[in-house]
Amino acid sequence: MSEMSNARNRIRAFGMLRNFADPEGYIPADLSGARTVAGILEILKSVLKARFPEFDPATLDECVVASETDILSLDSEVVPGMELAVLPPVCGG
Amino acid sequence: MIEVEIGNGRIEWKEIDPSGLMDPAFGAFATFTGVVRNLNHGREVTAVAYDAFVPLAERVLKEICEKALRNHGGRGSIRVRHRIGTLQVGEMSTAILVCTPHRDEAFRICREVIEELKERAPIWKKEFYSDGETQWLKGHALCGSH
Repeated sequence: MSEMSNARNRIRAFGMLRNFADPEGYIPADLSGARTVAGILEILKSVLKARFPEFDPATLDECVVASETDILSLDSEVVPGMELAVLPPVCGG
Repeated sequence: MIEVEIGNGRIEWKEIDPSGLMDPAFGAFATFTGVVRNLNHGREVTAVAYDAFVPLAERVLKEICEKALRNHGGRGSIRVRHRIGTLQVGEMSTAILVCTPHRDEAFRICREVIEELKERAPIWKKEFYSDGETQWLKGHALCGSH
């Protein structure tokens, strides 16, 4: 197994999703079973619902997953070691 | 020229200055500044905390500025600054400075950049109220924006 395939994906949370993140801003979840962005969102739904009973999984239906340069489509393939972010609806200004 | 900066540094009123943006061909300087106010939907606001996914937000803001310039004459300079961290009432959260040959495109670019920023830039705000409660404000979903 290559070093790259051993690398784990981590996902940062922003906005209201920070309420469900660790002190470093990451959502503690094992994402190794996800091959696509859609898979990551499904894992997050189940992990967050299990850990935070008040969490509404439908919240993630309005979120996108992004890299530091792009918003990723649901069918985007997840590369091992990728740093990802889950972004709720935005509200700047 | 397009300059974009998202950071913790306080934006001072004296920095609403076109230095570095002007050109002898530019006859207009328009600005938009967003300031934390003390009331929102009837609730007394004491502070606002801004959060941003900085690398992506800066990239999106550059794209927004490039598009606004293309849409309105193609000539001009834009500087956008956005605060992150906790701001007190009266502090500036956003500053958009636009220099162009004529006033019409300067006003239009300013308006387009702030409206697009609100809908597309990965930035969030949490309001702190006088009764001790806090709330992340609901905004625009980025689904479908890619």
